[in-house]
Amino acid sequence: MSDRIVKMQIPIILTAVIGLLMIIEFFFPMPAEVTSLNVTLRSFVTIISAAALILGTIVLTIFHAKKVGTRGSEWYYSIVYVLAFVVTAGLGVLNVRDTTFLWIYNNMTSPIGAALYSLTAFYITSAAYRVLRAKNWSGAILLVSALVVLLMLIPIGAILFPPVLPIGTWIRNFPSGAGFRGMIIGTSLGVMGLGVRVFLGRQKEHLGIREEKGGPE
Amino acid sequence: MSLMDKMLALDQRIIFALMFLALAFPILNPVILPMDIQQYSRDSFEFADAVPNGSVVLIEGGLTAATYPQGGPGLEVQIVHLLRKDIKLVFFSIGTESSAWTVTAIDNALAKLPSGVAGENGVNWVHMGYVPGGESGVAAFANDIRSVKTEDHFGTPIGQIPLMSDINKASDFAALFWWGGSEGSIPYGVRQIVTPFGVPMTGMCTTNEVPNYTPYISSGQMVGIIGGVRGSAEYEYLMGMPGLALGQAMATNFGGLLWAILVVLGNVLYFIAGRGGGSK
Amino acid sequence: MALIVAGRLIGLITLAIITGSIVYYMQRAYSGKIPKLRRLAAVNQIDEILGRCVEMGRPAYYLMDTVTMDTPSVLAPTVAAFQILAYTARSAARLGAKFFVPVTQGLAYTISSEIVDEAYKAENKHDELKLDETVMYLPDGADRMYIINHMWSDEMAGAFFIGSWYHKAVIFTENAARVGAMMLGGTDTTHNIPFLVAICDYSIIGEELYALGAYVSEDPTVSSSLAGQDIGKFIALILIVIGSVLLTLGMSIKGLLSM
Repeated sequence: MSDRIVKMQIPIILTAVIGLLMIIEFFFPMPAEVTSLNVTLRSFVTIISAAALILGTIVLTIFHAKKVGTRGSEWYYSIVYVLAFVVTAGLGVLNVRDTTFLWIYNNMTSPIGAALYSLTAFYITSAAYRVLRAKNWSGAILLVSALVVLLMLIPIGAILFPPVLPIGTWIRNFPSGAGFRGMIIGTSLGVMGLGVRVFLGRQKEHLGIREEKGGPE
Repeated sequence: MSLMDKMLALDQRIIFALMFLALAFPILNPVILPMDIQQYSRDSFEFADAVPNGSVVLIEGGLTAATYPQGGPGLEVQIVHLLRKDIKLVFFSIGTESSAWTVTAIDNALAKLPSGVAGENGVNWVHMGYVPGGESGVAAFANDIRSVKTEDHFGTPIGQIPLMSDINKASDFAALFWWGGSEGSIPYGVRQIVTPFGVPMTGMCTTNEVPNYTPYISSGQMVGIIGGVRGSAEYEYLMGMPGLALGQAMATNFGGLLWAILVVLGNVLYFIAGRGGGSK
Repeated sequence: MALIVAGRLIGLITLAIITGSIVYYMQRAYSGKIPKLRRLAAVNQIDEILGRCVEMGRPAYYLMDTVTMDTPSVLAPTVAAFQILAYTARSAARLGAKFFVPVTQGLAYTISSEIVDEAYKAENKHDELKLDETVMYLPDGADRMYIINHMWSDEMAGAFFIGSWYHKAVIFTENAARVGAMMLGGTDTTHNIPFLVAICDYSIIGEELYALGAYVSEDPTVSSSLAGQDIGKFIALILIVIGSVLLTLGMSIKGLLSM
């Protein structure tokens, strides 16, 4: 089978057919066979995601194993990765409900994930200190709005400064809500446009394909 | 570089250290300060309170390791709230990790149940587990649960679950509670369950996502929302069950005030330094 | 049995009108009738940032944050990010800029590798490309510290934050700003748009992410589809005005829209 058919036409046709099946199922009552087919296709997503995870893990393990082998830069960190991977994967393969494996997940993986998520608070403060400066009128409005809404959100804010509650609620419900509505509408239209272009095969860059364009100027 | 310039370009590590102290101190030494209850949280609580006793409700458990500290305490308390009213709970998740964390929330909630309140799996609650496919999965689940799930999270066939005997689509539920965390999935519930089936809904999301959903609340498609750790803390407060969320929310007082002080300080220094003009 | 599932008629009609108008404008473009479109400044900004990186001899980072393509809300902006990556990688190859694309998911990693590889081949610079150093797989979680540390050690001069951005937006953009990089940010995740707009030097908001993906394809028939999307905006505007007037008069159109 030619390279063009395999790399380009088959993915585009698959994308269009499966996408249309999902859309049609949403709007029109379908026979049980079609619904069952769509359920199967959706479960493929889970399988492909798992395969992608395995693929990424293999790529990463090869990368770090090479680094250890060639004593690349900071190769000692790669040893830590390889050891952690071997121990955790080994325990998981033996028994994913094993107490030790769950201990690693509950006491190491989860707290680390939560801690990394919490970095946001520190960086938001650093960014706010640097960026929220009233250099002009729009900056001043942004600054005042941010302060009012923040004081509204912290539990003691409305106790210390009672006016922030009605003002902050108004800011959140009206100007902010209106802005978000506009963005949601615009984004949804953008997604529809992208879907049409991808279904029709007009945009193929996400497949790693770039063709010299011959459209009218 | 003058002192003013150094202050204006303050090393972020100093800011991080100050924020760490502002958050760590009240967590290690809990300080309970007065708290105002937000209208969104009150609406969400009253929504749950108004669900008729003995009804069956649907709960989407979308919390993960990253968002469980914010929403987990609130979800646990809400489970207790609903079980105390003899409301039957059907859980599902649209993520694999969140499906596992939903089990954690259920286990923790069952441990907090007052004596005399039933919490039996298959009778008072059931966890249908992971529903693949994102929004299209939710749409299929809402139309015909048995076409998507044939067994629950623990492997029990759906036909052997007493609670599910008369339940097969979204219209069989009295209410929907969408604990979306940071999934950004609340619109799935609005579009696939609220709008087509008319099932009333409330939800939970992280604090920064609340503005995303104010349009749905304004239009009446959602009733209130539990926003982040403060929302969870307010739910604990309204239930009279102070817990982890309340402690964390108190810490946000100090973190938030530090944030505000730093921003004001930065602007004061900026004006004193005589910088001006030009837009970003 | 109803022809259409209850509650979805209005949605179907809207979808048909908007999709039809997009296809219509694309067809018109085939016959040479190209609609006049406002030029997106971001197209020039990509080259400006890469040019700065070349002058300073420092790398440019292309970051996409969440690329778990099994989630529909992440899939669309990720596809748009891939489209923009194709253009950016090709510009980086042409200008000779050092380029780094860390990716946090296996599938996205293979797609990104393919895109960057093709881009360098298209510019006849394939021998200059070290693919495993340019496109790197970093597990979600570990990527934060790796990228933050390397932003400082590489003294990155330019950064692109394009795709589906969640809480990492403020972490990476603030760090990049402290390093002194020139940044272009764009996401459709509405609650993170303010962070990217406030911190980045240039930004593309919401729908512009998809529009940029169409622009950089350099195919007039593709960019013409943006005119079709604007029909959708006009419909939304009209419905908002009509709905506001009716609500003010005490009439609800909820029932009509729930048909």
